[in-house]
Amino acid sequence: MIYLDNAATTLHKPESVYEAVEQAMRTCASLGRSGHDPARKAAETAFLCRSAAADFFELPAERVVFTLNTTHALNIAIKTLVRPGDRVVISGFEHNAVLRTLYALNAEICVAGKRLFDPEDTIQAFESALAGEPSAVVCTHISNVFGYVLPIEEISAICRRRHIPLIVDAAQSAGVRPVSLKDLGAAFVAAPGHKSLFGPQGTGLLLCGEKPIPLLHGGTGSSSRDLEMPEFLPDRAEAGTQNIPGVAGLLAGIRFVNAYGLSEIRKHEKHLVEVLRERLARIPEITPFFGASETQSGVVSFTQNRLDCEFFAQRLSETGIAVRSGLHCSPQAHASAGTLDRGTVRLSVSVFNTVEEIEEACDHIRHVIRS
Amino acid sequence: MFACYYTFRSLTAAQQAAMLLRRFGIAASVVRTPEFAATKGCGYAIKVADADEASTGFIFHREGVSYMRVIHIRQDEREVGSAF
Repeated sequence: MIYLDNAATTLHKPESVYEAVEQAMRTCASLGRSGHDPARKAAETAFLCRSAAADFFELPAERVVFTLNTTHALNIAIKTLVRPGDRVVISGFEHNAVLRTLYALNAEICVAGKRLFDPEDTIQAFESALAGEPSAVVCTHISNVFGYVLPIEEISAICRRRHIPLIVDAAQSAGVRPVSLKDLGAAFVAAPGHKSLFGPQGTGLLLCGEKPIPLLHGGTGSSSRDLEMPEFLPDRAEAGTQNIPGVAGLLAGIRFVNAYGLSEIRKHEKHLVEVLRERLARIPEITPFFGASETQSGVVSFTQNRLDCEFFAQRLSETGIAVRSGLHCSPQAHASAGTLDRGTVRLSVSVFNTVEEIEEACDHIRHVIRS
Repeated sequence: MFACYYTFRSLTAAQQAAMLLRRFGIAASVVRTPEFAATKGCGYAIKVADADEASTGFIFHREGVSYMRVIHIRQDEREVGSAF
């Protein structure tokens, strides 16, 4: 199987991640509850992971909160900053983790920047949208449908200038592009552990520039006589038993990314995307969406008129190529790009994909089109 | 023979402080705060040897580490004194 659905989750993990998860399952008890050796091991593992994430994303360790996934992290962040009916500015490429949460809050949603792969347009759109003084801005760093790398540094600068809190969705950028809470000055950054950080599913991170409002209430192993959730982080946002085997795997994943190097990862993905661009261009029946190199990540979508996109993906799966199709939980992105009516087929790469795999996948795409 | 327990409000804070002390060569272990000393119930502390109390206090002061209180506990695990 050639796995090209890394934007959903990375299937191929470094060996150290599998080993770390198994080791943790065999030796680690619950975090922050007891004082015996297995509990101490859990505490040490969690602390090492928090510290590794803190160094990676440039913030103090206690401001790294473990979550189940990016959606969980975004829910905490959005429900901290947004009250029912508040005006919120988002980009034209947000995931339903953002849209549905804002919809549930009955927020007044203002979409800024719908032109794909056009950073100048995006910046200008945010500049004028923020003149309306929203309560918050939520912006994805990289579109999970098209791989458009939004100008998040410029957007964050606009937010800082106007004193508007920013929530960054780093679902597709954490582990691929530099993400620094310090440099962005964001209120919150939400990231998955299980995509380009190569942790297991069931892991995520909320990086806190501000103090979150608890989404879950429960035991934290601290200040137990208080009936309110602790004021201090990370406990305030970590009620209940944490996924320590997941955290152990995430630690191993972060160490892998550090060892490999972000610039090397980006170079590898860029090369794969260039091969993809060149090969897909040879198939006239498909319409791929590509941006200039600096605005394009390792996530690529295309449309074609031969088959429903779900059937297309199914045919590819039968030939051993794993992709995703449909709306990718991002109807907003499709609305911006004009593909809402039929969706797209999406390929997304990781460091474990090779040029040969990309070439073979493109051969299969051509075969499905022509058969 | 005593041990000094510096209590912290969170496990993470205790872990950060222990890591700091180890960098200065002070043996520090993260332990559960004795229940009698956990004013809000359930907490974590750093245990250091009595002989390291002065150095620990100095390092914490210099590095801006906030702890809740210091407890001196005898070998038989009875408290002999505490300070905030």
